[in-house]
Amino acid sequence: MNDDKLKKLFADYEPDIQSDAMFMARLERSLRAVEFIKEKKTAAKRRNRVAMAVACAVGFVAGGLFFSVMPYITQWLSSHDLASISPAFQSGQVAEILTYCLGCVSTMALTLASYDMALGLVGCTNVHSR
Amino acid sequence: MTQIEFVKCVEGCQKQVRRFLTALCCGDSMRADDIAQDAFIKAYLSCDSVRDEEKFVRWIHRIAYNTFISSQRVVKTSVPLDELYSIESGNRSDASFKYQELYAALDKLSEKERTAILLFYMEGYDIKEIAEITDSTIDAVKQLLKRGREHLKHILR
Repeated sequence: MNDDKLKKLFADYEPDIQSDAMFMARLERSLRAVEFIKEKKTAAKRRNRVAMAVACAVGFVAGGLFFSVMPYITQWLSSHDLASISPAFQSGQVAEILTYCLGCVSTMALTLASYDMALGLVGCTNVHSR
Repeated sequence: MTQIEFVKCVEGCQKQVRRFLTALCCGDSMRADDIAQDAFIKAYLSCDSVRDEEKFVRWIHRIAYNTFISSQRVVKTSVPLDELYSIESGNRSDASFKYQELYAALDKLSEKERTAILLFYMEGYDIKEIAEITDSTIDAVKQLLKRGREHLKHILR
């Protein structure tokens, strides 16, 4: 078989394939599905961005509020006779350390509370969007 | 490129791509159509980079070839083509048996040889374009064409 015969063989090649209309209909169905998924993904991204922004704002506000409450907590701690709660507060240095620890624990609790609020908001937004 | 523009471009070249893939799949037109569908979806997802219609067809061929190679790793033909070749047809002009000999010959070639031969003889691409489509060097394509041609001539004597 020479080169020309090979060329002719492939030029005449007309396989029995599914009709063009059916192929295009299937493809267009798939393209619509792709578009649908793309839209859903874009909407989800947008929603998540908004949720994150809201959560950030809420976290910031809650953090600010809790921070402004901190002096009152410190004041409350110093105004109470801590020695009556525990004898450990009677020693000056130990009392200072324990007061400092109490302050740290309350700060951590407040930070966690604002983090939970922000996280809860993001969760609510995702649940509502489903 | 919008969906309508993409569909228009595909309408113009889908037959050519499916014909190429059917030969590449040695006559398995169902599998060729599945690969073509996958290839067109992949093309749609990244069609913004292509504007020129002539480049579009070559680009589609490249995607179709890559999709075929990926599918080859997953799917293995359950019945060897040699066995199918031995099945007697009641009517020799039956369309599904028309290219039996050609498919059996193509099946004997390696995937790369088959691709190079089909792109050269069936699609009319030059060696440089085939190198671009198959991501090979020009010398490698020349070698593939030479070997593929010799194999085909020997089998289809």
